[in-house]
Amino acid sequence: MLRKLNISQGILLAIMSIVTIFLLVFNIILIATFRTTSLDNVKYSSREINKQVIMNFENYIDNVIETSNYITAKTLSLTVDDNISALEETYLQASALSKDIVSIVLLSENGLNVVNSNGEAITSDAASKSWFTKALDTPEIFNFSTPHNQDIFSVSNRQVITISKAISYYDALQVLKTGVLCIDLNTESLISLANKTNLGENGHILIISDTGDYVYSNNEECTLGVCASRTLADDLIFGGQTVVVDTEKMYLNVNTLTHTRWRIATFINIQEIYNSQTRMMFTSIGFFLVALLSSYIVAVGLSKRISNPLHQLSEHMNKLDQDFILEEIQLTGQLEVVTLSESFNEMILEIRSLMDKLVTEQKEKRKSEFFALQMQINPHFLYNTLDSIVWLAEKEKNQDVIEMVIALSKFFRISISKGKNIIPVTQELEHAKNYLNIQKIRYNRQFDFEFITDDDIYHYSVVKLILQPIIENAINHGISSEEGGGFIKIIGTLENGFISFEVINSGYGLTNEQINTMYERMREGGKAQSVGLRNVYQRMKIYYGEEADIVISSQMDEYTSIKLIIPARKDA
Amino acid sequence: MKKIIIILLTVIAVSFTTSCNESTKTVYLYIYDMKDPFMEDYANAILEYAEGNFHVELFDAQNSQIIQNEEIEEGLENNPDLIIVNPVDRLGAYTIVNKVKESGIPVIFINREPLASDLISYDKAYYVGAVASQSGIFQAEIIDNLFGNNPLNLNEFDLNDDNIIQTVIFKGEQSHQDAELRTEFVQSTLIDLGYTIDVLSIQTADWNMQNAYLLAKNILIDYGEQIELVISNNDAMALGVIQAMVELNYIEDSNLDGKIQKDTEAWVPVIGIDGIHEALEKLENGYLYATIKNDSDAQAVAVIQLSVSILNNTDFISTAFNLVDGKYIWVDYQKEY
Repeated sequence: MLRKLNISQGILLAIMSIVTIFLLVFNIILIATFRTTSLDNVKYSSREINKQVIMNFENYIDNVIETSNYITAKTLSLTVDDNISALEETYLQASALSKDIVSIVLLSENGLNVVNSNGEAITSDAASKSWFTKALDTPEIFNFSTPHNQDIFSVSNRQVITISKAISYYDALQVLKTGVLCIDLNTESLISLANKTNLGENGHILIISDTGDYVYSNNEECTLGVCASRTLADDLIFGGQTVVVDTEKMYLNVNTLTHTRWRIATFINIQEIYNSQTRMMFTSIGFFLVALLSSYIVAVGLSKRISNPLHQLSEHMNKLDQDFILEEIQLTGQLEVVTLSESFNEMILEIRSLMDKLVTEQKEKRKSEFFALQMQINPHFLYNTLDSIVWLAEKEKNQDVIEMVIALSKFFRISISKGKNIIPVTQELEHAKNYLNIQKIRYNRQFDFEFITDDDIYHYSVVKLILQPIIENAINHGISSEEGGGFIKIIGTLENGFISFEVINSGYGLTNEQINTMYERMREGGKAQSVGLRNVYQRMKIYYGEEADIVISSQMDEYTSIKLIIPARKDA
Repeated sequence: MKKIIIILLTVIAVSFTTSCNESTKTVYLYIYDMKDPFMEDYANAILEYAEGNFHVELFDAQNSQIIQNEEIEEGLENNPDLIIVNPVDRLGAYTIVNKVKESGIPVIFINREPLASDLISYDKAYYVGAVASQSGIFQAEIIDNLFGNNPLNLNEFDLNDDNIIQTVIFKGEQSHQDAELRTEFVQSTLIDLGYTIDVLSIQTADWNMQNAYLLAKNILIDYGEQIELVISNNDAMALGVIQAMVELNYIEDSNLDGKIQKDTEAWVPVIGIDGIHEALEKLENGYLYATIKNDSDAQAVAVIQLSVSILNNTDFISTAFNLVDGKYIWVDYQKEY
């Protein structure tokens, strides 16, 4: 199929396929690389941000735990010496040192006050609070509550997070007891910590406890109830993935916060990155299309420039091939094409000169043939006539001799007609009459003849000596000396631009078979019989071409007619 | 066309058979920190014993729960047949349990025990570890032996002859489960045995040798000759204490033979826990009195046996270990002295 493409299609196809493949590969690589690297970057930077958030919280929690550990150690060592006032001083200092700490209280196993940093009255049902029971249930760990109204004191309206832990102390009787250390932190610092990180527009943080309660969220929707973010964070458990929250792309990271059994989920807005990715994609697709289009235009131009002259050349060739029109061509374009057109033109010139030569040669050839044929006519007639004149002279038929010699002289004058081949119709008819007159005398006036001619034909000219050979045949074949009384009729008419001379002789007539044989001999030659007819036919054909013709017709025992049809021409 | 189909079928058949041949199961092992020599030994033992049983891929969390979370998250995407987790933050283990629960992949926790409630929440969650309190009890038993097995009449190691053991305790980490339990149980066991102890000081050195060394120097200046015994929550801290004692000549290799002769050279009994390589060397040379070997080797064997039974879906049968409550394998500590 490819073989059927022409040059311009081939060039176009080659250029376009290469360009398309290159551009496509380039674009795909570009987009893929950009996508993966930008996605990797998003993933990486989001994880880093989440890590940072977690570390901030971990630092915060570590500080609290350090304080708690310090207090635990102090509690054990100071209660050994029953130095409660010093211990209270320590609690007070510890809580004063950190602005986050609201209160530090040590409660007995029954929920009664042991050491209190604030001096506020402890609520009577402290032992029933969840932070209290949890501390005793899992003594080895710190229990972090969710934000709640401070409930360790009888009266308080502060929002706090309670950290509780079972610790050991010595009571007034120096007996080792288990108590519950309760550190209340204000939630403000936790919130400010959460808000410290830039998570992009609508980016937010969820802090969820192991029981599924919110510790904190800066997404209002989430603090009111279950929100999309919460579901996503719960489904993921921990780790990172791209999610969609309210039609915006976010990168969600969930990690656990050491010591607390809390999970922190960060939602970082990455819509902008996706938008830029989309923009990038459209840009590169646009670039792809523009590049494709412009290379298409260039390719078309280039292929046209190369193929157009060749097209012209091939059209010219076609003309040459089919209609034989020899035209020179003027091509502009590449050097090769110009050279080619020059060669083509040279070839055309060469062909032309060859053809001219051929035509002249043909003409010459025809001329010589023509003359040769013309020359064949006369000699034996001249001998016969001269013989007849001699015979008439012997019989002393002087009048006949005179008539014959005059006719012969006229005959030859016209025959020669100053070397012209074409003579007026009148002269040709005159020539035929002279001939008939001579023959009539020679045949002892055994036949008669008649000319019936239109005046119209006198204005035209014809090839000379075409009637005489036909008449000669008519006399030879049509006039029988025994029967006597033969008749020859010559009819000259003008029909539809053709002059026709019909020579009719009375006699036996010809069979169709004989007529066909005559046609055959006339056209193709053969045995020397009726050399005259063939001679006339050939000269007519050489001079007039296909238009001229000879028609033979006959009626048995009636007549034979030879009709010459010649295009009517006035030229000399 | 026919050829293509034949080739395709062959490829499928080959890949099918190769995938069938690939019956070796894959186990991902998550270690909290490979810089911890104990965990390094432990992990290496697991790798060694797993050979021929299943393929193990090791991940080091570098003491960051965030990194470990990432490693587990990525690891689960490859659908391992089992994961073994040494959590960085044992309280965060519940998230790991929830995560693997989704994919139904069994999980064995090692070395750091998740809360019982977290472990119960998933039927394919297990724990292999030592009972922290046991190390404290074993320490107490060694101390009992050191002081002559008679709490009412202590032997010559009661330097001031007051029938009370003056001791300094080096605690791993405040509030750390193991530290708390070890500290608590060594004391309570001694008291239960009838000893009277005088804890001169409890120092928290975060399991760290350098910290212990610095703290021990101060302690030795404060209490010096009074100290009859040093109890350490781990070997690293014990080694730090020994370094300080050697510097301050409380332990002295007078004849420079690289060894301490307990009856002729200056010496204070120091007892550690873990049985790490360096500690065992010091034990050999008499610098360290005793250690309680947290038997990583035995634990690795237990982990392998449990893993094999989980992977093959067979009952856990072992002469050395019991599967308690279908979840726990407790591996005993070993006394080394």
